[in-house]
Amino acid sequence: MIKKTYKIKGMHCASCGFLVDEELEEIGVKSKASYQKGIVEVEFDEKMISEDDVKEAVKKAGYEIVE
Amino acid sequence: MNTIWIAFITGLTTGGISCFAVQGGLLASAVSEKDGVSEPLDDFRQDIKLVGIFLLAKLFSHTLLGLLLGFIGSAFILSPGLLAGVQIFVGVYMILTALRLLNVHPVFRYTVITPPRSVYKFLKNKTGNGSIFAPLLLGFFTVLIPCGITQAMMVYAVSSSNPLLGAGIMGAFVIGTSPIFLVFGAAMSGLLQNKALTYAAAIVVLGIGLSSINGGMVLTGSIYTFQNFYRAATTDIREIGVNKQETKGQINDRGEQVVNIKVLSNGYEADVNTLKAGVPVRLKLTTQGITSCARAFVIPEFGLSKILPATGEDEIVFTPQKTGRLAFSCSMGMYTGEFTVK
Repeated sequence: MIKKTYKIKGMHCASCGFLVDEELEEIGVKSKASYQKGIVEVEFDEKMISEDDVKEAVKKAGYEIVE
Repeated sequence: MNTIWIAFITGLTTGGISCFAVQGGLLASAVSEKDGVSEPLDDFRQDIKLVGIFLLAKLFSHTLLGLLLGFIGSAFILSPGLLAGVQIFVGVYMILTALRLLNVHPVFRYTVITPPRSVYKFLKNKTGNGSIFAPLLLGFFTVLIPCGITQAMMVYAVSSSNPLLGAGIMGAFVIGTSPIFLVFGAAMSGLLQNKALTYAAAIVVLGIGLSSINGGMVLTGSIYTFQNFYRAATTDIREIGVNKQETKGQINDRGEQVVNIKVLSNGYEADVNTLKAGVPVRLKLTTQGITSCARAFVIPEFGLSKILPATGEDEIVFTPQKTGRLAFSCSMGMYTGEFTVK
């Protein structure tokens, strides 16, 4: 299990953070997004889920991870 | 039954604009927090939904208040001091929200009302939309910042001495104010989608916030108000200080100085500008067909507040002890005036 923190752009309200969390949880990632800080803290099993999967999920929610 | 109809018409006509002036800023922050959606029609539907939730929450809290007012009475009407505090607090919140909308700095994101995750999940499961939390909360708590006309309705509810009638009066009034909120609320929400218009909306919220803080300052009897700044900038130097024309009140057979104030829709006209300290004042307030919040008359220094009839005469008796400025105003701090106590 690895823990990572990503910066997210496009979140303009608190609900946005929740949407990101929902999409990530659906693919099995433990997620805590913060609209205020503009980030998401994730924890996932790198053997089952790749970083690209995480990025795709965030994109599906409507937002983007910033490198 | 007639009373309830009057409350509804009042809301429909003057109440809506007056309330919106005070609470519109809160509505703006509530609708600026919605979930992102793709379809424009869904977007519009979401706007109406959010404003609708705001209004329903407002209806609920105000009807509850009406019930309490009819039952327990005037204990539930906020004193000018408390009102001033609430208005200043709300004004500051609105300014912070405006700064968030203008994207001045990420730190202003903390003005967003974030429900606990469990509440968000619950609301989303039940209503398909989690972002209704802010409008729900803000709509409910508008009851703490009643505009002058709402306060007149509150007194109306108290005088009914009947919880059901009190609830009916407040409820009918809020329903009357709803069309204006629905129209402006939905428009505001739509506007906030466009970046340039968001900035315009933010400026408006900033203005409302400043006006709210100013109103609060007036209600504390403070000298630092926009009205006074304006007066200081525009009054001829010859009219102030030692050279000012003093008008004093006549003394009646009870030894009281009599002062008459004509209450107009947009202000107060006093026939006296100087009072003698230590001598009781009999202040006569006359109204004629006044529907604005000027009917809610306040003297902050004594914590005195009175709702005047739309047409008629009312009296307040008090004794000024402190020399200097004695300010009076409407309960929203918009229309002001002062006496000099010597």
